Amino acid sequence: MNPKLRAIIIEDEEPARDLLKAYFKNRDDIDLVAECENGFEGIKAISENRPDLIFLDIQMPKLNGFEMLELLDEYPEIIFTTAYDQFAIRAFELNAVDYLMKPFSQERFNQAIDKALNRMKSKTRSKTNIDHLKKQVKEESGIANRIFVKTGNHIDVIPVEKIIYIQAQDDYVELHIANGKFLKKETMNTMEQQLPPGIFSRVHRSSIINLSQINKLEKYGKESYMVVLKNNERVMVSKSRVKQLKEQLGI
Amino acid sequence: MLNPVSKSKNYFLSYLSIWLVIISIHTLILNFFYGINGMISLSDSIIFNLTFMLIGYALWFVIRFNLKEKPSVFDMIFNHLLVAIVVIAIWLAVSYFSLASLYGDHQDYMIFLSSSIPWRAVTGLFYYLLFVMFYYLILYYDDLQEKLSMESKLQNLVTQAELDALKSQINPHFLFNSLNSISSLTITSPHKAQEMVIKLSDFLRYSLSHDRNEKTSLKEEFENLKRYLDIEKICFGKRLNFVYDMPESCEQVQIPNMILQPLIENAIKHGVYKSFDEVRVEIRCIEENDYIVIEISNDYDPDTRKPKGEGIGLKNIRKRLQLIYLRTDLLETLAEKMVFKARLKIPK
Repeated sequence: MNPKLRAIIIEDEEPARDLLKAYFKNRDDIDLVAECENGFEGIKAISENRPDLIFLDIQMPKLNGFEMLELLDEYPEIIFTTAYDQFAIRAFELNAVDYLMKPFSQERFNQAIDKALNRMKSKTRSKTNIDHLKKQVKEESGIANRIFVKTGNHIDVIPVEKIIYIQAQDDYVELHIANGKFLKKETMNTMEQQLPPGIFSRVHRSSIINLSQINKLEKYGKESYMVVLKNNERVMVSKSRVKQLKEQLGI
Repeated sequence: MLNPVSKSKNYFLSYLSIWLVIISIHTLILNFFYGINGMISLSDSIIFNLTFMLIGYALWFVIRFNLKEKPSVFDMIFNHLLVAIVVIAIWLAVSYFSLASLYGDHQDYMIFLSSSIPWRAVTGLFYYLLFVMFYYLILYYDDLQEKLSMESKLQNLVTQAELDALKSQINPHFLFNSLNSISSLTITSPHKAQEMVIKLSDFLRYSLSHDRNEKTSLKEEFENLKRYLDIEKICFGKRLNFVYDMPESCEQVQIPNMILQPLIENAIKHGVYKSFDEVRVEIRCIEENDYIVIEISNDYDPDTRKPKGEGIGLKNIRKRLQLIYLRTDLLETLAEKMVFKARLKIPK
């Protein structure tokens, strides 16, 4: 006999969780290993249980379904459950198993489970596929208003306007805020794409600054400039980006 | 409005070429039928026609002026007659004296010129009429075009308004989430499911049956808000904590119906949707001099990005208040540190 499919529910509304659990009971080929009320619990449960499949609601407080996926290191198969139809295309592009529109029937639920079982049997998802998925999630997420930093199973939510500047550190980026700094595994280019352009500026290959945190622009050497931030820290501006920065500052 | 002749290069060139054709014909007639010397024929033609070409161009402004004053038909005919006489007199005088100064010693031609003044006057009148008709036609056409585009714009606005009204009646996300909860309750707790179906039906009936132009008592409105919040409470459980203070003295005040619904929906959307913890949603009614004040407040997390500008819900409320009470200061919103508050003043 095939091993049972191990699944997790991530859903913020209790009745919706109850319904899924009731549908689960009618299938003996899947096991519910955890249920989570929000994305933070979801990340924790996924890394602890390594499920085969997750049922993921999209609209959830603080960390929505797509944002949660962005923070995962490994991807289980995903079945989205939502009352909204406007995310269907994104979900499809993420190569999800299925997209269940609430309310859905036991038959529709069974169909989705069967699809997941088939995919697992044929092992259609290779490692590259997962990398692709991860990249896709990042590209899809567009302009961010919060940055999530995952340290172990702990997640910090940083509203973008609180970021003072960002510095590259090898494979990581270092986010500096008023009372500390955070390391996030990310590239500067992706970071730059995700931050709102009117508020942040890439002043150097290895730094992005919050324009509202600039105190002054100081000449440094012949053609180089240095940004002095309100907290008195200094950030180099590369020659090729001086012009763009001046335009953004309106000088 | 610009003179249509100088509106574009092409129009101007057409205007010039029409006159060029007239000038050629005029010259040829004088030369062949009256046997006048070629050079003189050409000068006669150019002077008479070029002058009228300029006068014709200027006539546009006479017509614009005439329209601005919105005269009666009689006045208009009188005005045109007067202008025509003056214009034609000037035209004939200018042309005659120019030619006389050039060819004063050509006896034959001077005799011909003098005797041709009457029929030249008739031609001038004819030109004048053509110009006036042409200009009026253009004005009428422009007017028609403008009216048509205004009409289609208006039609679009009306359709949009109707659509917005329809959309703002029921929030589809609320509807589908509630239906999902009902679907769940039919399995886990059928009795509660039945309760919820009834609540949802009552809520929908109330929302759909009320004409937006009417007013209802605050009491009835409040009952419907409670139904809505009860339904949301089933979805969100302990995350939604609803408290209210509705003194009896407020209950009979008449308010525009469904005007509070978008406010309470916002409270849910920006409060409960975005929090794990208990969110307090409060409705209070206070009497203040000639007003009753309805306050709807909700906890919110200041770290989540505030929506840019005002949502369609608040805009619609402002629009409606302005239409009904002719005032723009009846709705206030205050974002305090952790609490968002909407204050609606209703004149008693």
